[in-house]
Amino acid sequence: MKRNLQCLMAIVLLFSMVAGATAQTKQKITFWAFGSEEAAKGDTGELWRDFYKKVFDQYMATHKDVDVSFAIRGYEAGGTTLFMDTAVAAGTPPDIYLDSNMRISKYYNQGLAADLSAVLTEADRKQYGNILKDFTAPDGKLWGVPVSGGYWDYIINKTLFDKKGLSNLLPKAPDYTWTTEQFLKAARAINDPANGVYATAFFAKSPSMDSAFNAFFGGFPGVEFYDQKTKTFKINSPQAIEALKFLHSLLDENLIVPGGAGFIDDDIDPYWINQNIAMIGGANWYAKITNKAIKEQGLPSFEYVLARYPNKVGAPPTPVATSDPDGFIVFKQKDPKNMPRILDLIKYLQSPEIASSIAGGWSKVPLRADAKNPFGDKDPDQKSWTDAARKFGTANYYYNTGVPNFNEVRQAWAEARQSFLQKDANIQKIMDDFVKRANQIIKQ
Amino acid sequence: MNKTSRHSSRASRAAYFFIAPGYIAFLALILGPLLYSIYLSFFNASFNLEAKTFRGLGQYLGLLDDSIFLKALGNTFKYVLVVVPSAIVVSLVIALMIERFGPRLQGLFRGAFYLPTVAGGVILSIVWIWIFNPTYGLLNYVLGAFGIQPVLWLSSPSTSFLSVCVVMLTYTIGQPIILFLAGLAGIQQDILDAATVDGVNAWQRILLIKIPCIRPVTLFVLATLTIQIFQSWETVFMLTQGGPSNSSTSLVFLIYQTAFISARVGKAAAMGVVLTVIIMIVTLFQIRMWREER
Amino acid sequence: MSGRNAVPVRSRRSVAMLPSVLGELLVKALLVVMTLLFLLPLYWMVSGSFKLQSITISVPPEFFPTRPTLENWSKLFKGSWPVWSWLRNSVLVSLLTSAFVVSISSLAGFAFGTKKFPGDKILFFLLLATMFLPPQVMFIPLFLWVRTLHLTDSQIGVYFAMAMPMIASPFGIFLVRQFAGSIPKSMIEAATIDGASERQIFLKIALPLLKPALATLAIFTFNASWNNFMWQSILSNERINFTIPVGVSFIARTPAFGKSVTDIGLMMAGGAFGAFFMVVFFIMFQRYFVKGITSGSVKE
Repeated sequence: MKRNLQCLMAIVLLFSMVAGATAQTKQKITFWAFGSEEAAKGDTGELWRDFYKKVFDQYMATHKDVDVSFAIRGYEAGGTTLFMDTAVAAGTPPDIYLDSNMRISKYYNQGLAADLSAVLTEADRKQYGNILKDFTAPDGKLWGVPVSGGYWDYIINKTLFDKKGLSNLLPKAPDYTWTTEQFLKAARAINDPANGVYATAFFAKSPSMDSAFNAFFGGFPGVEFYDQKTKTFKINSPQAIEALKFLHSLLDENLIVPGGAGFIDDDIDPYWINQNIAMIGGANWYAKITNKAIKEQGLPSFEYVLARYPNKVGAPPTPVATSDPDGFIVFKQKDPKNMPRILDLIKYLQSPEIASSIAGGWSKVPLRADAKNPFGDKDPDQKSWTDAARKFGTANYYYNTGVPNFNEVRQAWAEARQSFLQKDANIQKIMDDFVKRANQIIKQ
Repeated sequence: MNKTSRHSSRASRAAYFFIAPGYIAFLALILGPLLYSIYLSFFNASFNLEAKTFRGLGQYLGLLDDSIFLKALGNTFKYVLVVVPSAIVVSLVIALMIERFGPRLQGLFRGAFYLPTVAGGVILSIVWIWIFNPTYGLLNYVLGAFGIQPVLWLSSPSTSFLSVCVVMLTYTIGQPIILFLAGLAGIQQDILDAATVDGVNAWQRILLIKIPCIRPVTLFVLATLTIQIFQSWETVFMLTQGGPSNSSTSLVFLIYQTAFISARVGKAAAMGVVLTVIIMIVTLFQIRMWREER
Repeated sequence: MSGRNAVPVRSRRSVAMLPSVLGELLVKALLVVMTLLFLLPLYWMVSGSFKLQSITISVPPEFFPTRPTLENWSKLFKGSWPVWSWLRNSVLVSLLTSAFVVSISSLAGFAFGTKKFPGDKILFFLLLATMFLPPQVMFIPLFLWVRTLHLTDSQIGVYFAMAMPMIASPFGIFLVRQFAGSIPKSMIEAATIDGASERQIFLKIALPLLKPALATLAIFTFNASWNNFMWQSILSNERINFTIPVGVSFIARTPAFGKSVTDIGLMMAGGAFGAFFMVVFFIMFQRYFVKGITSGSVKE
């Protein structure tokens, strides 16, 4: 009896040792994504947290040696990275973080990014094309892996133009391009403040959605916000001033909603969905939001059409380019032995199918050329735009790659735009002051 | 050892036990952080504290060079100089008016004026953003009835400061009204009666008797309001975010921006120290004034 | 009182009264107008919460909602905003803060107010000196500390973290000290002679006498903690952790990606909801508020 008991105990002990040993070799990986766990994906309506759970459960089923825990944060905090900054400061950042280049580059700039060159094969790199530029360090090492990107467009309330018989003034298929002159003509014609219709709107109270303003520069060749080579700001150049003068003429002619310096993008929404604005610069996801809001609030719906940002007369049409790509960043590990499994997870996450789904959730474009366009079959409008965007590649309207202290620069830019949106603005001086200040900020 | 000294030493030891929780909390949550802030103010630091670099006095000298800091400093003084006297005058006038009613109605009015204070600056700002809207806001509509062109309240550097002042005024008068009413109620009735019989009219009674009699209350209101307005943040945050172009920013708002948005905690700490020093100087000055008149 | 005038005092007064009766009415009317003016924003907010989006931005604005709707309120309560969590958070944080402040202040205030001991003046002066400190100076180190301690990882931790800046309130100690100073020394001496311990003196003699002061302090602190917007918004990282002021300000400002469109009616409903509880609280405890405010002012 006793011997049997001892045998049993030995077996149990052996078993638990083995189990413990295998349990110990499970590597814990933490994954954070910017967003909100309660929000739903834009393409399928599935909750983000359910989506990620599926993704990671699937991965862990075939990779028994990792234990992935995920969290989706930051959306509620007004889009700031405070939760990340403090996690970094406390020495407990996640292993992997997924967010827009604008925000993850901050951590790269602080020297916290691990080398991800091993994630992508040559074949992979071909799929991403020149988008990888935004994620490559000067020494050629990859500090991030791209996933999805948005693009900027001018969204037009076609119904308003139709009602007044002015639709002929709008840009036409298939490319929907127009010059600044054509843009002004349409704006002047549709503008009717006495009856509550403004041609368009600007907003500058906060840095939020400043790309909607910056995207105008894409139509003016030679305008450079930031020069990577000399590491200085160039938005006070003659070409930039010319573009800004065009934009200011919209204010001078009362073609924009008054008070833009005191509005954030949210404040313009009510005007737009109540059809008090004829057209507005924004991002591709704005169209979807419009429809949803109109349905929710029981407002009369309207037909909208997407157009390019206008280009300077005589210049090539403004390209549809992906902007501010989202990507993965991996924080440098204390134990380098952790890296291989993390790299493998990234490889999995950036694979065409998952990347396509993540992009679709944000109503964005997956950046791999071989990833399916999430709107291919469902939304032919979006498909033509997303195809064009991927063809062109990336245009960084946030102009932030490699810019240290970019958040401060962005805040300074918001203040410059606030000054710009006044009737009596001295544009050259405002831009000179901004350039001086921004150059100082990045040297700190 | 006699009974009293044994008692007093026992009382002393007990006293230390009694003040211990409070004092420990004070050291840990007020004095400690304050000293750490002062320490941090000499460093260039972000949230990654291990990477901080020493700057010494250069940090403070750098502030003198920083045009936005100077603007915030100037604005903060401007806020105090505009809002504090206005609030005192308005609340005093209202208190004098409320005083003429019976106690029940006094309580009603007093509560009514305190309601905005209870609701708080954040919630009031939410509705004022709507009221201030240039196109569909209530204020421009009312002004329009008088033929005044729409004003870009929160969107123009020339009016943003004033807009913040107006909103601040709506929720800072509640407390002074209560205090003034209490002070006025404390004035002895026979002085007032004697004066009335002597032929002193109502205005003179107010100016020559009531106001001087409540001087301590006035000075107290002055002191607390000054400190409160020096620390203004909520209204600036909700209404204008300091803009446009920093025309309405305050020192505390700049500290918040510098620390939590730009993540420059060292610089923000230095600004905090400057603010503390200013408040202490102003408060000491006011205490001096107070002591003198007694 | 003077014999100079031939006209008897009484009739002189009644003659002088006529214009002052008019003046009196004028003043009272003016006050009513001013009250309505100051309350207008609050009315605007409540009435706005019952207006449809399209009406909130239409010109001319409606003073009375002609087509009232409950839509904004249903969106507020049934939508994705966890408003009841926010309410719970605000209540618990304020209760916690109040509890801490009252216990700490009653102990320390009692000691400072009734005992003489070596260093009492200096220790108290140090407390007093910091009463005028801008709390924002402490926020940065406190924030860093909270994060290092990972306090915000758990719900209870968040509550503690939110209460932190207010716990060591010098004002509370100051207030209790004032009141404690008026406890008759004879009572304390008699109890001591009878052999009572310090603890018993505190619990059986001081506390009952200090009750009104402590009640005032509790209510005052509750209100101050409720409105401690800046600290709470710095700490709030997840939607579920918001307190009411923070949450309400977020309804007013939803961030970009995947957002829903700004809805003024919803903003107003959020604001009205946020204000409602404090207003009710104030009406219930008005006399404590008044007492707290007036007893803070030094009368001696």
